[in-house]
Amino acid sequence: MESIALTEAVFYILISMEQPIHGYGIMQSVEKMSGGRVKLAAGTLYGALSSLVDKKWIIALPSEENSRKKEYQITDLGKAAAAAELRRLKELVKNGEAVAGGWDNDKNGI
Amino acid sequence: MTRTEFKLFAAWEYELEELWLNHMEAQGWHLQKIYMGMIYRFEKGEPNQYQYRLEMIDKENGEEYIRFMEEAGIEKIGGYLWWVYFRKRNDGTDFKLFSDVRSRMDHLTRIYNMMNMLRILLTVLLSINYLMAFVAAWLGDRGALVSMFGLIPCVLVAVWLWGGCKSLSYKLQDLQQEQKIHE
Repeated sequence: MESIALTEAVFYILISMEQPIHGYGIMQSVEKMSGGRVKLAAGTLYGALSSLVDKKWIIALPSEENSRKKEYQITDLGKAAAAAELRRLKELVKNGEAVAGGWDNDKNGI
Repeated sequence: MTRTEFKLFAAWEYELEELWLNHMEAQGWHLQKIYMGMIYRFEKGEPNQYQYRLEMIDKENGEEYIRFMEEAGIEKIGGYLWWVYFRKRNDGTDFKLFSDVRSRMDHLTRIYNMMNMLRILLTVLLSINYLMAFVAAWLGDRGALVSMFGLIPCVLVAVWLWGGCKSLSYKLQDLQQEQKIHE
């Protein structure tokens, strides 16, 4: 498993597809999960989905006859990648908390 | 009421073109159709109904991409060569095609590669022509050099393309710089 950090978009995409979900659903789900902070643009999402399919971290499900919308679902490989990223993020949070925890000053509006 | 405008934008000025289309929209001129990427037909209506974005798309999975965009409420209103004109109903949020640095860089790189190919092709063709003319002149055909004046417009286009590539590579450098800190 490579140890390179995932982008925010990729991480959120991965954790939004435990159940089969279509493109627009991912955008809505990610926006909701992040409390409106992360708004995936459609072009960015499409590019990320294509790369994730290539990497076999997600699969495009065969679309039903009457549905034009393509649905995606995470694979075991994708789950492992998201879990590894979560471990990395926890480490960041732990170390960040220890040092920068006291710097947090929301009054500064950052 | 309709209105037709003729305007030329270079490929590396697509953001300016978006700005102009959104500016027209703000005055109630909805873009209806684009011919050859330079003739624009507008129709008068309520202002600020739509927002516009342009993208140079990858033709290979172009149709699938357009369908994907439609799902997200983004409509293709026209295209020219590899360019697609998208619009989205104005819901008060900023309509963007790309939301991170990486995907913006991918898009700019696509434009850069295309322009780069064109400038190299043109430069090579011009070099061959001029080289042959010089050889012909050296062999005694004076007229060969004079005929090369006819190619000056092509030389100007080549210079223009080199300038465009330069400006694209500056933009890419800026994004690369940003990517060292932000996504």
